[in-house]
Amino acid sequence: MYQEPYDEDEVRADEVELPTVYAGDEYAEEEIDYQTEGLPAFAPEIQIPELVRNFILHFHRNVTERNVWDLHAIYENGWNKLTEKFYPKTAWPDPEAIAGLVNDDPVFLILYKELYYRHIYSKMTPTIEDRIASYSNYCDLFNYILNSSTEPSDLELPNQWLWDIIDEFIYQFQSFCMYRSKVKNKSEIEIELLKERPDVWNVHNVLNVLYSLIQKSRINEQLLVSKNGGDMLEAAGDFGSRPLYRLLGYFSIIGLLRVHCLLGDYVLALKTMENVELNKKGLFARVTACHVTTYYYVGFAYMMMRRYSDAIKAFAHILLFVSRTKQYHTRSYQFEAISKKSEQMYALLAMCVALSPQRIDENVHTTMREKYGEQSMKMQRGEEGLPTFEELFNFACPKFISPVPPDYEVAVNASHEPTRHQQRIFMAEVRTQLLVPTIRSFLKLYTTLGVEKLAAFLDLPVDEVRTQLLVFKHKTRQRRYESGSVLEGDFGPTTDLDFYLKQDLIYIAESKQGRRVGEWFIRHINKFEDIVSNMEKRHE
Amino acid sequence: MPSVEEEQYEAPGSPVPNGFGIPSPAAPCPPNRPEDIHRIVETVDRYNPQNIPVLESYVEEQMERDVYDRDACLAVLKLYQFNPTFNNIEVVTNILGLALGALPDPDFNLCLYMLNEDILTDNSVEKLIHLHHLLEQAKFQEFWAYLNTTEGARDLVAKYLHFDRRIREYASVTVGIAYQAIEKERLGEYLALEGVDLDQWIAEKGWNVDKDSKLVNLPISKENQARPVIVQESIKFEQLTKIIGYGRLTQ
Repeated sequence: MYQEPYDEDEVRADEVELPTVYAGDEYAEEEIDYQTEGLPAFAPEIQIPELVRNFILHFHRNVTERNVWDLHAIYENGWNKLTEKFYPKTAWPDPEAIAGLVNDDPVFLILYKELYYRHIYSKMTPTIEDRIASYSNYCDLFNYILNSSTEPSDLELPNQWLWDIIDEFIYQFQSFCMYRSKVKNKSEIEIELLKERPDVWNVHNVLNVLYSLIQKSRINEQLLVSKNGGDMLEAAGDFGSRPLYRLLGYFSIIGLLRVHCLLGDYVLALKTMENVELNKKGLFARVTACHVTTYYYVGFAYMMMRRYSDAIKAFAHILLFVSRTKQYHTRSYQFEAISKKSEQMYALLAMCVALSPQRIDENVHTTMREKYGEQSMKMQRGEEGLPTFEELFNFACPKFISPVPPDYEVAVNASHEPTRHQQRIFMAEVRTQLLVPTIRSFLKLYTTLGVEKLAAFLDLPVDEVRTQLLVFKHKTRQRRYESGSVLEGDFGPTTDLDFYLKQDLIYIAESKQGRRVGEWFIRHINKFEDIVSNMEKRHE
Repeated sequence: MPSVEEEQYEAPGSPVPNGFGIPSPAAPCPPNRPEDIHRIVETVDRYNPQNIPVLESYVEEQMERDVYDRDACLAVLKLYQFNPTFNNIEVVTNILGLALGALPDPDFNLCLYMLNEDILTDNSVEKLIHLHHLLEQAKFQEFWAYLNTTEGARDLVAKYLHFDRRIREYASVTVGIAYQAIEKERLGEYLALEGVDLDQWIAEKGWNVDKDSKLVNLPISKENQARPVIVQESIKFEQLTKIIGYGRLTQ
């Protein structure tokens, strides 16, 4: 029977800290009123519009006053609104130009630069200087958080921003790895710079940051206490008790999950998650983008480990969540990113269901059929379906990276090589189970069937069919998550159609779903009640 | 203020100044794993290239003593991935040999995912990939033929003393989940065993041979029977909360 072990503690949309729940217009009117008096007598070389200048002053004041609530609005609305208005395709004012406005406050400038470079990455093409400078800024930021004092910093930032810091840090690392492997398009100056600075976006340094944040926040110890009980304050320590450290530590676990996947190390990816309980509502659910990322990479790692059943559960769970909370995302500045990931996950889901047919949630199944119905059919057709698998894999997989710099003397562009490598191995695996769906469709028609007869249907030698039946059993038997950490799981059959052999006679049994009417009734009762209550309201 | 990159670049292996050298309490040491290996594999010490020799000789030890430690093997491949100059093709083939022995777990592919593309075209690695391909497709007769007749194939796993035994275990599991009864001769072909050796294997497994000794009966398990099950829907209480809520409102 299809069960949903992740779903027990389902996250309700209203408990999630969804991005952008603030009314933006309110803010736009307000912003004109930001203290215009008392401006420092400062003549910037670059023309900074009045609105932007006031915004930065307001922003700075709230950072200094540790006013998280207002920072939320600044981060999610103010910044994006002003970006649309003044900087849709150009960079925000140079950090040096605003330094005077904020009394050269180093922490504020680091935070400003984080946003400044992130904006360049998203709206323009970063130059190599931008890439290096952004990397240095992240070093400054993490050094400030981790190494500037024996006391924890009292800085507080919105959860969403903390997630975006980790997310962006990894994105820029990934982007840099792709960039440097395109040797053919590089100028000599660029190559010189790349050779001079092997430390920039070095894989060890990136991992170091994530491991250090995990370590400093004692997040693993905290997760263990929350799982097994114990003294949380003691487990967390001075640093880990503060939200800044706890969340950065937690998001770094998800960050490592992602980095390990990008490097093709799926075991280590899931091992990083060993203290995170996916079936409980964890911190990951506080920020939707983090929630989606977590399930995407967990599901992807399962798929690559040939645990299709677990992958299906992970994808179905998060896709159901996203579809239920859609009305919130549409207002979010991350709407596009979440929709893109969802599209990819429907594709991955279609692949996994083709490889390991099983029942999934009705709503998710319907959407999957709408989006990838045709592809799903093709993937069941043996050899013919291979190009479809390939196409969907390329569309839905993360952009894999090589952790080491290329040979800069050889002018080739190898940025797609890591992805091709993963795809090739995955496809070889798919190829070994090509006949499984075909055999399944024949077995479905019988309760007993001789191997010879099946061989005649398939137009294959009898010996080959015996082998294919073994393949069917071997491939439909997968490790499945029962309890414990995400990496654990026991072998068991995953198919609703099972068989056994006595010599050359196949005995077949199919598990069937009883009629499901409950969900249908629940849905329609709810709809009816909604209509009635709407009518009553109107009546009043 | 020291920057992260400077600190790190000088000592790439142990990047965290205040140490992360104790394995997480949630990472229990698998049986047979030496403590020093455990400390490397479960901490950031796994990124320190200085640990390559220790981990490499642990791979040999695994082959000799017939213990398999997936995470320690993958840790070696990770070090090669980050430090390609240390790449040792012999160790890679040893690890791939161990991963073949771990079937039906997909560890062989998990290793390939982490290898550099060039290594895949190495002649020895290509042979192992072919062997893996045959095993994944349950082509046991072809597998044994290739292993024993192709030049150099046998040598690749020569150090892994229990290799044949591991593969026979895998074949036995695969046959065991599919068959309730199988011709002894065919079973012998799958296992590459005959005569006394085959009888001994069957006896060790506790399988039952028919009187005329032509048919082997495999023990009935959950996986080699097929019973039709009808799955009934179950409605959870939580699904009804909204409806119950409406009931309360109308009172």
